[in-house]
Amino acid sequence: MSLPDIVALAALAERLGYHLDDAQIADVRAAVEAGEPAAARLRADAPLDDGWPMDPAHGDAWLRGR
Amino acid sequence: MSSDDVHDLLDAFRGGADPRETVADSLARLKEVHEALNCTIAFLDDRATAAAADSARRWADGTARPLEGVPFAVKDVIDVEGVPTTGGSWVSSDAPAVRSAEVVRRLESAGAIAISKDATTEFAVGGPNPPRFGATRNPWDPRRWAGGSSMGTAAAVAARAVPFGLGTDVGGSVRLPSAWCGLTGLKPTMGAIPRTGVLPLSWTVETVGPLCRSARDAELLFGLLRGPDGVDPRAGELPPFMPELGDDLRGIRVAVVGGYLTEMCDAAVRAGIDALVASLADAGAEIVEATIPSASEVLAIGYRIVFAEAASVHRVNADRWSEYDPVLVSRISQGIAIPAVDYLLAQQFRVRLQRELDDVFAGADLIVVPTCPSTAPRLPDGTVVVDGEEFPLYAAQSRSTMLGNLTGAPGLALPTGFAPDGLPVSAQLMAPPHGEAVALRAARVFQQQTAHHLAVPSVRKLSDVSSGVSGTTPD
Repeated sequence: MSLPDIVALAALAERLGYHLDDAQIADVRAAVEAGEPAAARLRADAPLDDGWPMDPAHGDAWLRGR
Repeated sequence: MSSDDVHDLLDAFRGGADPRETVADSLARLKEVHEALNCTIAFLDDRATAAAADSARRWADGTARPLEGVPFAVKDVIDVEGVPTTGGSWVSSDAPAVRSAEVVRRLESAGAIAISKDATTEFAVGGPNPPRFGATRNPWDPRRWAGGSSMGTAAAVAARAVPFGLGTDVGGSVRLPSAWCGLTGLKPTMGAIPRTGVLPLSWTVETVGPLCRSARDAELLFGLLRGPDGVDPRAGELPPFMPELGDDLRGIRVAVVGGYLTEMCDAAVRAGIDALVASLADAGAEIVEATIPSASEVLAIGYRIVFAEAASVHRVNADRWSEYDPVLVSRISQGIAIPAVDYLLAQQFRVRLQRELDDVFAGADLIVVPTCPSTAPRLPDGTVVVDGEEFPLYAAQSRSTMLGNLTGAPGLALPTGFAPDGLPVSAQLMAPPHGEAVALRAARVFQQQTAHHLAVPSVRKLSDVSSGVSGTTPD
């Protein structure tokens, strides 16, 4: 799947209620591209615990209950 | 204000020193320092003077509280009743806060006296040169940055205007300025200190912590600041905090973590870590090696979480981002484009990382990592230099601090010496969640053996930014 282009990102930002100028959208696009390898690795990670995703709140419980 | 830490100052009060004089001296010193470093947004003269009079009375009549008369600085994302909280931004209302943040309230209930609201990068996530108030210079060299984001607090404490201050830490913002200014700074376990009354940035990551001149002060302050307040939903019931006594570290296992966390690390920083580890071993600690397999992913994934949450937080000002620091916008705006599934996968990565840290702590009580790869960034651009090579600020600064933010584990930055450029270097002691006591004990033992934390910047030429400011280390 290809990354969203500038037009798509501008439309997304506007739809979500943010008003960014062209230079700012270009920054977002550059950041998305730079972050994609890490994001791809994250998506490829083997799931924890037999494939069932962890409720992120688990992390907080770990913090308190250890 | 001398080079005293909180303990020394309390001893002076017990010996008859007058808190009114101390607070007046502290305010005068802070104004002088501010002229040179641009560290402070508001001086709280009236408020502090009234509190000092009450402290003088309490010392005289025998009702002094644990921090009676001790002045402190407050990062300007933390509410102080009757004073605006600007977040360092043009966008903020200048209406005074109606109630102090819980951390300020606790310190004031213990007798401490807030004397200032101090500079921050805009909303604790902008660049080194916030448009409204400008950069804060480093007391060790005014051509360098005091650090981010708790930059004003760090400069004020390091320049000996106040003995300690409050900061916030989302990716290192207590520990990094502590490192760059030669201070001891604690990012506590997530949820240990309530955030009520603190401007939010990243709900699942942010913490509040003290920037101090010594580990013994950090220990004292942490004991007073921690515990639920019934409001912050992440600040739940805690196990007891039992400061560990003893002048040695027998029975303590310290893991030295290599790999990604030390790959980009200046020789002076590495030398400081080596000296710290040798000192801990001399004190009886057992040194072991450890690895954190996912460490190289921490920075990128941490920023995804922080920026997604920050973009959501700052949607409240979505029509006014044109008034924000452009660096701030360029950072948090990428959060808009992070799909929800990716954000939640990043949250689950935290569980994986916590388990990796669990594995390390199964064989160690503490781990040692750099606080940051270099000495303080250069102004105005914030670049850092590692072994002669220049790097952008954000490629370097949070490489080994974000680990604590994502796992929730506490991290204590402590000064380990000086680089050839005359600026402080720092290492970080990390403990398992709610293991602050052992990190503070180890730091206290290290500081009994060394004098790095006692070094004072030479402020003779602070106002001359064209000349370097060198420091001295007491023998």
